[in-house]
Amino acid sequence: MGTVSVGEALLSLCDAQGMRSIAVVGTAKNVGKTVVVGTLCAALHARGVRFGIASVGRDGETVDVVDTMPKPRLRLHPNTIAATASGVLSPSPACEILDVSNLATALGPVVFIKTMAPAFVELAGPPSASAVRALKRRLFELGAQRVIVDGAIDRLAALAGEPDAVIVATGASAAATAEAAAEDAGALVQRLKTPAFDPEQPYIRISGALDAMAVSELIRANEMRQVVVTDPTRIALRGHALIRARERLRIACEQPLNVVAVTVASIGRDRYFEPRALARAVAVQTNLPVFDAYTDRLERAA
Amino acid sequence: MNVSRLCDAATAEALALGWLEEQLATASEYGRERLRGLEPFDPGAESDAQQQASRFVSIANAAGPEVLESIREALRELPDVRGQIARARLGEVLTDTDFFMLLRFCEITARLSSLVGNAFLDEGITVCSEARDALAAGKSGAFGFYLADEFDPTLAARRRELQEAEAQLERLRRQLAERVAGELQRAQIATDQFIVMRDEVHGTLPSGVRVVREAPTYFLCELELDSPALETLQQRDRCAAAAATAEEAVRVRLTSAIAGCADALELSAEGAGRIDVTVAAARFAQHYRCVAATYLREPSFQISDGRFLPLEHDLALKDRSYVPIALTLERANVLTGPNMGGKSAALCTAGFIAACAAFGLPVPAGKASVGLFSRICWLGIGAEDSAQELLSSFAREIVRLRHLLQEEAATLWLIDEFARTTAPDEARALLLALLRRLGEGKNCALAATHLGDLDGDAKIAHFAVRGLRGDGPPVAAAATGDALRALAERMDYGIQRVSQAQKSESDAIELAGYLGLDKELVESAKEILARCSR
Repeated sequence: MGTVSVGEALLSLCDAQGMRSIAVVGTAKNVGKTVVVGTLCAALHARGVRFGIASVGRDGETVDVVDTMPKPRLRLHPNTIAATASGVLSPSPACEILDVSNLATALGPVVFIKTMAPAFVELAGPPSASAVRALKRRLFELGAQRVIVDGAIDRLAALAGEPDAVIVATGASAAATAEAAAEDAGALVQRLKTPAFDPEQPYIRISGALDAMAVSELIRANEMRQVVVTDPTRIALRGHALIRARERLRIACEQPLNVVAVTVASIGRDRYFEPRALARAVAVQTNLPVFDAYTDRLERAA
Repeated sequence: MNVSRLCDAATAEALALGWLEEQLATASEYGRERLRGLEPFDPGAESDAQQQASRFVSIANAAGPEVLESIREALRELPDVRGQIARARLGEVLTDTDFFMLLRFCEITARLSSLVGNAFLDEGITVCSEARDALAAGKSGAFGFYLADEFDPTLAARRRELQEAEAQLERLRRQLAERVAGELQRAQIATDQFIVMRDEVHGTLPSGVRVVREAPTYFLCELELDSPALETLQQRDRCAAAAATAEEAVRVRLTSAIAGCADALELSAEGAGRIDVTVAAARFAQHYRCVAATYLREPSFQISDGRFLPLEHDLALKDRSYVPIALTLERANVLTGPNMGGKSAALCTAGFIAACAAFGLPVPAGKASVGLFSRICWLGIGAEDSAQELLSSFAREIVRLRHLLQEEAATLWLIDEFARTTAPDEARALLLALLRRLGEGKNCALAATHLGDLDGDAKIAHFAVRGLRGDGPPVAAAATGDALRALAERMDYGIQRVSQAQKSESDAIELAGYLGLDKELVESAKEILARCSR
């Protein structure tokens, strides 16, 4: 057939890494993140796995809160545990309220629910790393065997140091051309896959962000030790600057992220890319398996 | 605690009453609010204060720390439902999250009720069984709440209809998706919209596929429901609306039940606040070995083994011990003694214990007999008003005194080195005049000073810190911390009544040398002092 079940294939990749929780992060808005999360939920449901879902920030709303355009909705099967702000909880169909946490969001405290019937659910969670960790812990305590975290790239720090499999979602809304979207995705994945530092080897620890000025100084000083940041999100370099920094410095991190795959959405809000060309370009740039949930295809770099 | 009714901010800071409030931290929002509103007892309410303080101490003595901690654990879990009660009273339909919190509140108050009995608390907590019974059908699992079918047969029927319609629609959708996937030779159709590549279509697209967008190499498609599926979809939507209406009807009924027992729920909440404060005060008494003061009807103050807890706490962190003091004050009192002999600490001890007593709290002393004061006033070091920065130190002190003297309430005056920045003779005169004034009326005043020759008035009682034992300070230590520790060991912080105010023996020059001041300078000072004495 040539097509795959994207949700099941992504789950298998996470299984291979032994990861119980999966974070899906988008490189921009409207890059198909909710669609990917939906396919993961469907696959877990098909496997009969009881799972929990949470969001870093707000996801699954029916219209974009910025431009009010319709968005794909997240439909959960019965017996799914979710963490969301009380203010976005739909009154019907009624869910079982499992717990009310002390974690606050702008939309009220985070509530843990269990769906009792198929339901469209809007997820809203706290943005801080410690709060997201607390949410995940509680979801497992409440009986979830797997946890999916729906996140955004600017809130990725919340996942640093966590044993999550990270799936990066990109698409036509992320850049003006397919090539640019692929390049951006490649640079991001390269940044996120910053290796863990070796404490046995000499290193210099950078507190805060590793930016272009800091890198220039380190290169000028002919720094040979490992340059260690807390986590990959602290590397404030993009494109060529990042490539050059990696050529000259041994950049490593204390809390690595585990990026397992990339997904692409060739359908954007303002533009459409050729699906196969986009998937191929992203696979070449990221050197990771690339899934398109709209074509149900897997693309790998040659 | 409404500390501002008892003293101004400068006095509260000098007596570290913020620290006291921290030690009395409650476990629940109800307790926090009750503690915030705690008022000091006014003179005349001695028996009420006595009763409260004795109750706190008897609970502290009867209940073990683990019993009090188990009550606090329950209080910590108690959700704050005052907003829900208020909204129900106003007729706003409550949400399932609200019902979850109310049910949890009722269950934890029931648990609290039995725990309180074990802790010998004479005050019970009202358990609102009406609210608990109204919500009981929604209890699921250990703590959960669900708007269950058991609440209403109509709700159960509507949900069954919805479930059937949902299953029927799902079946038709799945059949359609599987047929289309098969014809397109795909593993599945998993998303609402899907892409079909043109070069993979042999002939036309399958029926049941609607093209949303055509591109040179692909079609963006959606599944198109046929007439039976569309009818089922409409039926599903009708059933969903009917189920939503039935659910909301149950919420309206439950909200009405909650509104009906709002008074009882509020009583429970008040009871939780009372218990929380009681347990916090009893823990305070246990932890700091406090006793109930004996309340006297006159403005007097008598303690033995009194401790200024914030200082004791700070010293303990530095592995140093605190020496408790005994003090029996008359209306006007003077305390003299060497530098670093604990005169200011004695003032703080008196003020801290008086403040605890005023709030009906156990006091950190072996024994205490105190009157209730309407005010506690700190005058002198540490109480300058920074808003009056353009005034000299002396002027600021006088302006503050002028303000404090305007009120004629029963006041405990704590005066630390009053008029220290002016000429000693005039300072002495001012202090004596002030003490004579304060000795009248309903005041009690304790003034720490280095000024000598204050025995011109028989109405002023004189006390002195015993001071350095033996032959003065020990040999100077290199580090200040070690020096202070060694000095503390040589210092007798005990306070004794003396027949007349002795000439102030401050040991200031000896101590300056001990604390590392230039030796030559110290010797020079000693020579000058000797010349003056001659």
